[in-house]
Amino acid sequence: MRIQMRIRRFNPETDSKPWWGEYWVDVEGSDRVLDALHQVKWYQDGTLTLRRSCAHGICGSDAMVINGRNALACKVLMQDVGDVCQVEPLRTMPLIKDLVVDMEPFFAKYRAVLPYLINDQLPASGERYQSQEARERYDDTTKCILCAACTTSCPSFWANEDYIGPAAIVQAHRFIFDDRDTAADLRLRVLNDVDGVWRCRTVFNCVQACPREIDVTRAIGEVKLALINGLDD
Amino acid sequence: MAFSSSSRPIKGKLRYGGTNHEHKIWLFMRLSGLVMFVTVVFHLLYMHMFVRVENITFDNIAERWSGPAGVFWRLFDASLLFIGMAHGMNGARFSINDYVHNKILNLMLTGLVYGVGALLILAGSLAIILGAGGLGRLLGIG
Repeated sequence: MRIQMRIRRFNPETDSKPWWGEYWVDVEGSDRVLDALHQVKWYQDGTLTLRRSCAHGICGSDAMVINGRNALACKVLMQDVGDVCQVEPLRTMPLIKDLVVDMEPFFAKYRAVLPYLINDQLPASGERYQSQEARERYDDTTKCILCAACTTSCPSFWANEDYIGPAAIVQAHRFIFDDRDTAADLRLRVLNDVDGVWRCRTVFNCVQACPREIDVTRAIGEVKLALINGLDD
Repeated sequence: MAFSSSSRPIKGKLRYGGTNHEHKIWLFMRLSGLVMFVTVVFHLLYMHMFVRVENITFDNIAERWSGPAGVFWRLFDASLLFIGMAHGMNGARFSINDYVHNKILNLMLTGLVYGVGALLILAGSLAIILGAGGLGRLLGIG
């Protein structure tokens, strides 16, 4: 089938503001938006700039706004986009070129929640064992691939870029509820900031946007409850 | 804690963890929301279905606020006034903090919300304490 691609283009060296580039591509219904973007880049306009790496929904580098919704270009099928496929870079993030945005502010917020295991006690022997139940507690938030689809779909983040954002909270949740970790209080102090979890207005855009189907708003809610009630253990 | 190890300078907030009362306010908003769900629905049903809109008059309110049951109604209306105003003013504060990043404008708008809110609470409290027509008598225009 023949589908029109409308792609938001911006070259900082020649353009004063972004514009819509229009291209026609021949694709199968089972092709992905990423394949259509490749068709444009490889056969029509080599200057089109985008990020992608694994192309299989794991690395999280090709998150973009597809027909108004945040998604990974490598996970959306052309049969699901209609006659016109409109592709834009992630909202709010500083635009570098075409579909590429500056992810540094996003990763700075990620680093702020100390996203690594902190435990000064060495295990008695060998590895740190964990029960299946304890692992299950934070299973959902281990699925995050840091694509920024959730954070850049969040109206609270659009309104205030100082908001730490759903992705950072999800990453904090992954360690706060890990019983091998001992620094939950440090992370909870970070998230208790005025621009931490309390900026979340439970809009649920993040849940819709997450390509890994993480219950992001539930995770944020659990962190809020941990701040109110303390951790159970 | 070193939060930043970026190769590029990053604009915006990098340090989180300042002290604040947002978690208490969050809890208040949930609890007041739950209380208001009951009281406002009761208020609406009572006034619209039982009293009926066409019967809500000055005399009707005066009668409701008098006698032993009047104490209940005044307390009930006071709860609507205080909880509703506190919840609403805080909601307005949320919106201002979300969207107005200029500190001076933010302070002015928040001050306006608190100022107008305080006036409304004062007027409502006087009405409830002095009873129907009491505020007018106090001001000599009743």
